[in-house]
Amino acid sequence: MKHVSKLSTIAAVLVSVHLIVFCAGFFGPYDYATQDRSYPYAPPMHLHFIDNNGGFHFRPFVYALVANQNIFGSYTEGKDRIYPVSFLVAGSKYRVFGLFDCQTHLFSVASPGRIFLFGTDGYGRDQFTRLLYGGQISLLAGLLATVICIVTAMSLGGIAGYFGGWVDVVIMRVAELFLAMPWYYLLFAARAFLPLTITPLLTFFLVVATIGLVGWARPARLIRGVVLSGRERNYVHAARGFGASPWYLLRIHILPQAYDVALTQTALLIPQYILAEVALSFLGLGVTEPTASWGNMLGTLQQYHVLVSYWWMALPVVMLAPISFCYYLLASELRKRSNVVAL
Amino acid sequence: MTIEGTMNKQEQKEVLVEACGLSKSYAWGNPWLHNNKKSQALLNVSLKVIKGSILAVVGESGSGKSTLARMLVLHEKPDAGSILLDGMDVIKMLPEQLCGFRPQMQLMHQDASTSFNPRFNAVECVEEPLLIKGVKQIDRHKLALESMELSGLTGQFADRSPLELSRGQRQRLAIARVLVLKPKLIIFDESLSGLDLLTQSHIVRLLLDLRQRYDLTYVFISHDLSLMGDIAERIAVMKDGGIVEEQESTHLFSAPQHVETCKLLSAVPRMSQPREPGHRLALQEGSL
Amino acid sequence: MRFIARRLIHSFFLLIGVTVLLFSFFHLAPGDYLTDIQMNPQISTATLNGLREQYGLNQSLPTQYVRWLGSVARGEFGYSFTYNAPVGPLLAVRLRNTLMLTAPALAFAWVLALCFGCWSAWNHNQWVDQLISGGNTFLLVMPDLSIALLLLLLALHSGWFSVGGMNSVNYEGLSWVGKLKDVFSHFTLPVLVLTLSSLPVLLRHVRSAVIEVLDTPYIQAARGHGIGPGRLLLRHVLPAAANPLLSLFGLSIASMLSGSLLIEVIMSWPGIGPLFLEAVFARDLYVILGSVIISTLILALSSLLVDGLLYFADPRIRLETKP
Repeated sequence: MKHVSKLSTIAAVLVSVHLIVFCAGFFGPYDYATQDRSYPYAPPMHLHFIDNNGGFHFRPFVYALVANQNIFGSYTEGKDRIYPVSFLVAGSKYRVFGLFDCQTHLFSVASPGRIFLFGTDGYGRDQFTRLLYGGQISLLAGLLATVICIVTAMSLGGIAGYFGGWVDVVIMRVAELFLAMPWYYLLFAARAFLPLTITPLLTFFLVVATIGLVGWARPARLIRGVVLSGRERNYVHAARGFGASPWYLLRIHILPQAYDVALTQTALLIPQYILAEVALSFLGLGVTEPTASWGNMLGTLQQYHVLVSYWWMALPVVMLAPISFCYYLLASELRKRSNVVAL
Repeated sequence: MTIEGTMNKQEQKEVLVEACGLSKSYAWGNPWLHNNKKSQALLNVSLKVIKGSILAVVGESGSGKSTLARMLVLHEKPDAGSILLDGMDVIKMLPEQLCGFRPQMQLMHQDASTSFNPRFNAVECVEEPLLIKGVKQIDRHKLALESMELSGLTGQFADRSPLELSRGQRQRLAIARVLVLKPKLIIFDESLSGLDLLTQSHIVRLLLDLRQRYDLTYVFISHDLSLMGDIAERIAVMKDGGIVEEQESTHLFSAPQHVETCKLLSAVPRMSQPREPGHRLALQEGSL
Repeated sequence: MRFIARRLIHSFFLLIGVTVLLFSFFHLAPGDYLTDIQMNPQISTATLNGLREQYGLNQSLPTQYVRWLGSVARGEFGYSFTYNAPVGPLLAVRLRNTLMLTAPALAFAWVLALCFGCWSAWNHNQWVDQLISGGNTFLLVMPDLSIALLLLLLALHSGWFSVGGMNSVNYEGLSWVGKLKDVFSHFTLPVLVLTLSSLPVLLRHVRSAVIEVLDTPYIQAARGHGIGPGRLLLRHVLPAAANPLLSLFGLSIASMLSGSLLIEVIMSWPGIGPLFLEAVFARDLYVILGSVIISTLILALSSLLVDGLLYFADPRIRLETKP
């Protein structure tokens, strides 16, 4: 029982992170592409409760940002005017899950004030909002790529394990070829010869498909192993005796035995694939501007002066570690559970 | 035809399945590296199964009994020989033509527990043959429950997992599953071994009952010669892939003709009182 | 000997298979080196076709493959369109630089993994173990991108290490010792990042392998005899754990090569990584092919080495592979 509740806690955390990220329009005060050229590289703003005169406000507020005329990217707080943070305000339009339009944002400040919780980038785009939207791309890429990978692996591993013979030999030799190359080299090479100058949406799907299809070999081998032993079970023989087709046997009796392995592999692969998308976008081979992805947000850090002067641009990096950690815990829990069941 | 009828009128017996000259060998090892190993499982086996009768095939381990069983239910193809069903050779038939014949011949394995998928519950296990055939859900459920009733499992067992049932109940579930396709021939591959004697006698009684009601034909594969002597009408003795003797069971026990038969008979434990046919079936009525 | 011969032949065919796979994929994919240039309206189709012919891009797939194989045999590994030079020498220099990073990083990572892993396993479930495991998990979940960026930030702020590239601007003017020191200061940060990103997985596996071996009866008996931890670990435990650890060594080389790609680009270290990336953007076919083949070759050689070592280390494998 203790195991189950630990699993549910981790799952709950992951689900809530994903929900927040997929409702990026609601949680972020601005749009991911709106540029505010008067505030390039603004640092993260502080929320205050006590104003200049010592008065306490229940509602947190921010000061206006005054650009320092002489130095680019340097700001001071203009203490004359306060902008209280209002909740559930109407702001820019956004689409929820691509289905319907909405205008309510969780929090914002009245114009001409700005609230840049995580600062802005060179074009004046709010990094907090971009972080949430970027999360949509990166997390979704990881999930979709993993689904593609596992489905491919289960099909090919199942076919190879069940039918045996030359089908098995061919599939396993091809898998060996894929495994013989270092993962990133293979990924980048595959990405290389697919078109580079296409729309961000198409790039996204192309990247996801590439990541997923390049990594099928290792899980496929594991699943094939399970299928090899699973097809000898007596209930498989019995069902075959009743006239079941190989596809029925695979679908109903044999592959379900591999669900545990597939689930553990999923939990291991998702963080890897999120990282693969981030790496590809970071180097410019993945999702391109103006769509935000944690990778291309970090891409500007390749210029060292950005890294030194504007440290808040590295914040997407901070998001990656906890998410990987959650998936790591998930994978450990799943492994423990499947071992218990096997006994 | 009643059973007494078949016993008396030898010439009018209807043959359900006839196997002629079946041979099968298995090879393993890598042919490229010249380390093939071959073993002859069946060598020129011929057998007739009379409709409505009970045939027992006995022999020691490795004599080819299970291979013969699998061939008779068309699970495996022999290397040579033919199997005649209603006079037609099924070996040469295409899979589509065989579709009609397969459900009529069913095989029951020894270990009922592992022949059920643990993810299914009892009624789903029994429904499965119908599902494979493509029968609709409502009919499936009804037929499955009926079959379970026939085997002595009441409706309360429908939602239970097979793992929760006792060995005897699982055996009944396996019988229900086999019956649901209304077969003509059922081959029991060591199905009765491993059961305690009381359960065994209950199951045997159930089987005999079902045979009478639905005019089934049974073939029992076993190494328990004494039990076979009680229930089977004819016994075939196998050794090393061939049938060495085949006779009516009473004659077999009184006048065995082959060395192998004598060996098997001598291994049967002797009871203190004299044997009569069917004495082990003298049961008291009991619950499951 | 037969065993090694068989494995060599197997690796050879594997490499051939990889080249065929990549070659076919690149030629089936839309576009080639000249596609981007095609977009420039000033270049006429005739010029393009002439260029295509010159580069041999309009020939059939098998012809190009055979020509490329010939080039490989000559040591050229094809021709780079961007650099206008044979790929082989280009790669050789870059390979040397990459190995300069990956070899020490691998060595450090393994040494640290073995030390801390054994220490942690010896004090299983005590506070030392918890501490090391905790720190290890923390490193494990940090992606190598994060580690690289954070260390870069640290280096840039503190000025302790030189960042970017292999040499400083005034490299040529330095003395021999100065040159060495310069390269060394540039190379510390990438090696540090590579070590830290590979370490956690290795440590985890070393720890679990050693824990498993420590539980076996004969080790318990040896402990009972009073053999000290050092000697026990070195002479008894590690050889017993050799099987999974040697396989892990092969895998660690693969992940190290992958990781070095990213790190070299971030740190501007002139290894295979940046060359490869450039070629990816320019679609310089033979450079891409050459880079992937080289890295696959390194991987194949190292797994051959690992299999050979396993063969000699583990008597069970010798028995298995006897005809």
